[in-house]
Amino acid sequence: MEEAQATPFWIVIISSMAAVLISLCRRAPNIREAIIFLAAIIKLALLLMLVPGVLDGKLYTFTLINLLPNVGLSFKVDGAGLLFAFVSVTLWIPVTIYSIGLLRPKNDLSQTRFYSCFSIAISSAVGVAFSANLLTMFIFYEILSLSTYPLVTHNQDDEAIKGGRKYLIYLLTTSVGLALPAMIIVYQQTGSLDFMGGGVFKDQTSNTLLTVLAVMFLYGFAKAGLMPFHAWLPGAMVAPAPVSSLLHAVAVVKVGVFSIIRIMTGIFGVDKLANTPSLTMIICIIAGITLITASLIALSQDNLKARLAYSTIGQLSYIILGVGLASESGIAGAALHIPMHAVGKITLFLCAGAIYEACGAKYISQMNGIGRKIPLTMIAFFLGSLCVIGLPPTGGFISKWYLLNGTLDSNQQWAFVIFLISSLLNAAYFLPITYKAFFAAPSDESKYNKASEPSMLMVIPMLLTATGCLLVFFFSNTMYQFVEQFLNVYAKSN
Amino acid sequence: MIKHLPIFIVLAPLLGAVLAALTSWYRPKLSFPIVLSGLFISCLSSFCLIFNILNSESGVIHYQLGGWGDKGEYGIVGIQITVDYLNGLILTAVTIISLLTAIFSSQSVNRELAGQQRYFFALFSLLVTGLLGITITGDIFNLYVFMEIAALSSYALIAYGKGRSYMASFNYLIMGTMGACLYLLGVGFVFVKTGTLNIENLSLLIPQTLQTSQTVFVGFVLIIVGAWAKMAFFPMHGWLPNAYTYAPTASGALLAPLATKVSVYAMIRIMITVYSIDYVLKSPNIQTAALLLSSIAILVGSFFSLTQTNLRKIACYFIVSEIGYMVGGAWLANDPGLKGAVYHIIADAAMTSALFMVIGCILFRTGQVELKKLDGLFYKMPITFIALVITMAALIGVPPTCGFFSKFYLIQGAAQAGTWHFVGALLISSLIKAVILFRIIEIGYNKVPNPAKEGNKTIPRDEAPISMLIPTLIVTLSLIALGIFTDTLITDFIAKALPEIPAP
Repeated sequence: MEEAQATPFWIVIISSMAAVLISLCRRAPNIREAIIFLAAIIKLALLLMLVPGVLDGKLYTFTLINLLPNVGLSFKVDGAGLLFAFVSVTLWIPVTIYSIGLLRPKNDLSQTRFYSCFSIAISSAVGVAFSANLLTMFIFYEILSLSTYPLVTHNQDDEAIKGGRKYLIYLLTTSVGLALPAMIIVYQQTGSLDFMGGGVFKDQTSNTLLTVLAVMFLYGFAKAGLMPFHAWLPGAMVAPAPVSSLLHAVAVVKVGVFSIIRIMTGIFGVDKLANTPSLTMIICIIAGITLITASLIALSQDNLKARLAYSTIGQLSYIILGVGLASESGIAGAALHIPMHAVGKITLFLCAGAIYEACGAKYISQMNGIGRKIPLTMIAFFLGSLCVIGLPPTGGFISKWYLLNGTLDSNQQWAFVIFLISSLLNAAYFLPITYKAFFAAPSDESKYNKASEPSMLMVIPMLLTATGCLLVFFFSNTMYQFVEQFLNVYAKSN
Repeated sequence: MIKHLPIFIVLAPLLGAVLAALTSWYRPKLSFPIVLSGLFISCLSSFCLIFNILNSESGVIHYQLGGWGDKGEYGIVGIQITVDYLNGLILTAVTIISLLTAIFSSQSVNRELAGQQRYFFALFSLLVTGLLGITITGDIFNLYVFMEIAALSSYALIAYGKGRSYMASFNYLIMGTMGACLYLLGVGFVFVKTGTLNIENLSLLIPQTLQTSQTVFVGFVLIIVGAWAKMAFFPMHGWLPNAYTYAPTASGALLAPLATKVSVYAMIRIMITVYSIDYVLKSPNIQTAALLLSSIAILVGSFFSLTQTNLRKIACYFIVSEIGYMVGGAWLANDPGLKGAVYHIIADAAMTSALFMVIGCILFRTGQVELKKLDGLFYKMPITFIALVITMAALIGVPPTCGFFSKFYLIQGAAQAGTWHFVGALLISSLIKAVILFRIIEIGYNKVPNPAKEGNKTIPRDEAPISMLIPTLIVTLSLIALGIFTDTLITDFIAKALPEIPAP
């Protein structure tokens, strides 16, 4: 059932409107930040209004304007999109609190720019979640790249500029060089760019063309961090902690994988994927290699943020591998892994920022014994790492459950093995950090004597998201209902 | 009155030019308002005209100059003005941009060319007359006349810049004259065979009875090559970068967006109306050559822009590459390709206009546009800088600006025709422009650490004057507006302007 309604459009646009207000309130920081919270709450309320309808099986659609014949700037809300939007907007609130705690005491004068770019980024992430066709998605995808550039280069020093350059070169080269032509070829072949259950291609489309297009899309949306187009992710870690956390754990990278889920289910179609072994094979191989390699690299990193970045690259490939399995539970696992990994990774990034603020420690080898000085931060870190590894009682367990189920459903036992190896690697690079922080003797006793928990404005958001890791475990069934609605539209159409 | 609307478009700036030149003898200050009102009338008439076309059934408006109408068996004898969707759209764009440029240039002319304003604005108006004439006329010889009017006034406008501009203008003169000669020669060939110069008559004669005539074919080649020289198509682009770089700000801002685009229009008109798409498709050698040259033009323009350090030179090489877009799109000779080419005429006119206006603003305040001396530009001229970034984004083809949609159609056309080198050239040029944008952002925005931060010296804000800023902003925002209304533009105007081309 489709129902035309303008709410999706307002949900997308509201934080952009907030961005305008934010940049006007440059001199009144309290009002400026109040606007953010107000926008986030309105956005959440509007999202909640859509929930009952979507769970009922409705698809809310809205076309703003026709951009090309047959292709408009249109929105369509389904379960997976709503879930993704919900996660991004919810996590926006703790991150804003954290940013206030981090940036205000430093008298950082680029705060206004920071908050307004942040709001635009949230707008475009939700825009991608609600896109009804490839063109709309591409537009929001590009806006996201551009609006996050000032965030990556926030510090405006040489390192930041270098990171920012890498960020834009990787993202724009791939999207203009691969995704755009792929999109145009799809339009030229089929005359449509709409996401539809069963895909847009005719039956007689050659397998070679499909495979080439799939590879172009996989690498074209480089925000998904598939190797060898992943180097921007560690490079962008020069950004302040809140940026890394929200954008590089939630909005930016998840937009990448979400786009790929959308394209694989809505443009290619699950049936077509399942019936074209060459297609799924290539997706699985690309994702599988990235998965293992990234986990191994993460193991060797001493810089905490770099380790987190490589861990992100590996976890994103879980999602793509899940789609590549082309079975219902594989796709369900992929769609669920987006929110599950988001809460876990955001906690870890916030903690990394807090550790640096409290102790000045960037490298893992410096973190021996800091757990006794900043216990709350390290407990949050522990919960976050459990969620990313995928151990109960945290959300990561649920999504991995579905992913592993998916490998068996589609008879890809090797993928099952890969998932298990990678989970072990995850445990190997995360658990020692917490262990050493609490139980190892500090190498230099006097160094962290004066260290104490950072300001409450930073601790509370971390604890909130850490609790979130547990909550998503207990409410995973509700989340599955959203995914089920998505599967009903896209995976079970024929 | 309504009947005479088409001629007003050309007549108003022509009279403006003459009056401005005459009154400047005793009241030099009057020349600018006279020219401005001439352009305003022209703009208004073009708006009325496009609405008339939209409301008319046939979508074509004819106007016989001096009443020399249809003389039965001789066909149409006098000069005929024909306005349909294609040139109606381009007329509107030309009049709007020239009006905005006139407003934009008053301040910079007063400063750069103090004491010479009177003839400058007369020439300015004369150039606009020429460009509008090329667009509106329905007669290929008349087109040549207007081409020369535009060319002669632009030589003078460029030479106003002094110093190297004399040489640049001279180079342009040589190349422009050669182009015009070739064009005229081509017209001669066609006239010998057909006995008519009227585009409508020709469009009935050539595709039907003279398909195989060698004379007509040679005429076709000569006309096309002549038009290429006029539009600075590779390898005849050498005159353009210097001419537009060393010209005064105002001349550059008027010439860069309009002069080359109007020549592209002339080429498309010759291709699709005088000859026909079938005719074009039956000369595959020229088609292959044109497409190959387009790809090379795009790449050469882009790579040369990468090596330049002067923002104006960069912009000039952009024009060279954008010409490749349009010529290539037109010569793909399929539906999306031609749509993309015509759409890109409008889009690129707006983009180039915005770019040169922004450069003019920077030039007005800082006196130079060397790339590496632009550090901290964002803090000095924030609005101008944002306009520059939006314009560059449009040139790259970031959605939802117009540059994205023209590229979309062009690539679609190239994919349909299987011309993959053209696709590659388009994408590479996008990426090179992206590199230049980042360079500008890094220098203008990031190189100077936030001046408001403690310890850094603050850069005083020094924005361009309001009479320059407002036209710049209007054009810049139109880039986004054009992108958003692509569908309207394509289905309501461009699709109706083009002949039906069956998909393969």
